[in-house]
Amino acid sequence: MTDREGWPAVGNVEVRRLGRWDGVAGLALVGCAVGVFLRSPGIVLAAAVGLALAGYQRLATPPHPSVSIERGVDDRTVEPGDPVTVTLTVRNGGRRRLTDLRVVDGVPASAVVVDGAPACRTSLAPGDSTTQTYSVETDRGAAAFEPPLVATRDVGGVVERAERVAASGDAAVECAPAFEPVDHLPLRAQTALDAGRRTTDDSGSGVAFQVVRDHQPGDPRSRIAWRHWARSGELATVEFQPERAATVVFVVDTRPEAQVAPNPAEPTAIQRSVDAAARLFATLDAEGSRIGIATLDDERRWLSPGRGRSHRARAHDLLTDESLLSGGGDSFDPVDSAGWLVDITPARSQVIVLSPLVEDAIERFCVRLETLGVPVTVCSPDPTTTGSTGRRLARLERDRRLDRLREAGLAVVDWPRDQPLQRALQEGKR
Amino acid sequence: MNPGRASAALALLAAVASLMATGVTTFATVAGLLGMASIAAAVVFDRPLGVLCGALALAAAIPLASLGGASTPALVVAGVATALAYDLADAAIESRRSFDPPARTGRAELAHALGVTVLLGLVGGSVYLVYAATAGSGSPLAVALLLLGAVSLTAATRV
Repeated sequence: MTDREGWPAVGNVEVRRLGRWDGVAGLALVGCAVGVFLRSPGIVLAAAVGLALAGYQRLATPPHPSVSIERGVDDRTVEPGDPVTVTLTVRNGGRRRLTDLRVVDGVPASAVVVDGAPACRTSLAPGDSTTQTYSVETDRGAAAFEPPLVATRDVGGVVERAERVAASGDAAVECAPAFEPVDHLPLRAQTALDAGRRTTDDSGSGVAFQVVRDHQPGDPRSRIAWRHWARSGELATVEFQPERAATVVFVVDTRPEAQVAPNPAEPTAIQRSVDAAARLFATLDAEGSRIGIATLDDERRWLSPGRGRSHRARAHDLLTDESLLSGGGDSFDPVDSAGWLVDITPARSQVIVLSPLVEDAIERFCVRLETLGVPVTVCSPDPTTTGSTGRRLARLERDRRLDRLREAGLAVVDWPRDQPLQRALQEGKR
Repeated sequence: MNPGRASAALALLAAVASLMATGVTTFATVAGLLGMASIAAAVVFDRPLGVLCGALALAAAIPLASLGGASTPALVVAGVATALAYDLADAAIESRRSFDPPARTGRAELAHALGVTVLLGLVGGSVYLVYAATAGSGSPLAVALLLLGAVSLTAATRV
């Protein structure tokens, strides 16, 4: 009942005899013969019970249910990894008791049941209802439920009637990445010139104190350190850390090579990269930074750095596009791709590459960007495991790539599969 | 309650009833015990063949009990209990295979058990009442021929 194969098509009714008592008639007739041979009426009467069962199996008809089903979900839009609780209420709207009613919800193919069961078997009096609750986790995108399967059997359980019954209520859930800011996002020092709320390593006007230096002609009077003058009699100028907006481009590795996961039940590295990009976008957006997005598949999607409501909407559309997750393209060239990105990226931008780093080409791409003068931070969701020798080797190779990138001067955030992004970013800072 | 557990427990109860009805001789008791053990093992280890073997052993105990002098009502009760044990054990395995543990199936299993018990009870009671009404004077051959006629009639009523 929990297998989608063998379900009748929507609108079709399938009646099948289950044959549970096949062979009983033959056995009963043998019993009759034994009873006659032994001249024992008791044996013949006992065999008659078997014959009656065989007769019932042949004559039984399935009940015609009048069932209504309502489905409800506790949240129609969820973030990746969040379970959705589904409540299925089944009501017997007919005038006869349904002694053996079986209902299996049409769980979306992209969903995994993580708690409870999407199926129930019960007996319902007229007007009675039953509720079944279970939880699913879905992949990214929209996940539509199919009409539940309703099967009823007669009281003896020898004949079954099965059909798909449309459920009222919720028919789908949407799983989209969360645009929820993180507390800390380590960026490289280089910034753009626009005003913003991110403190930079440049000095000048601002609110965060940085240093007191000797006064030079032309320094504004408002920044003279009067206490310093009172103590020493020498003029000095206070420097503050200016707050400027960074220009950051997220480069999401959406190539087939990044379509890897520790196991089929877990999100792929592309999914994790896109989810991370959404959260980091929200973080920088809140700081007033200009943010762009690029992908490394053959399509080379590109959202120029910008800010504001319409830019935010375009970024949302790009990062929630399901086709991002399919990992298309096989013509990635690290040198060519780095050149393309440098050409279209504004000067004084920095790049955050989101990639699982499971092969060398993406490493060469990152190093190439850095050598072309673009500060690169790598945020790498770790898809490796240690389940076999081959997997352990893949993990070692990935670790070596991360080390080489660090040695080349890139900032690297290694994001293990069992760790929240926030913690990985904090540890990446250290 | 896990799927199939209610049906399995009731199947064992029916097997015990069959054993008690036929346990008048050593051979019948041994056959009954074998049948009960086979059904118990079948529902525990999910083996439909074990259910069939158990039901056959319980059924074999009926003529053995007849040879040992068991009464006609006891043999009828044994026939009903054997059929019930087979049906419920089969239903237990089917339910366990069809539903994962979180699914609730106990209510339907009890309703099925009740329905089949009533059905078999009516059949057993009816055939015994017919037999008793004729004061037990009818020969076994006559009863058997009557049943054969009933089977033929049933077969003819439905294609």
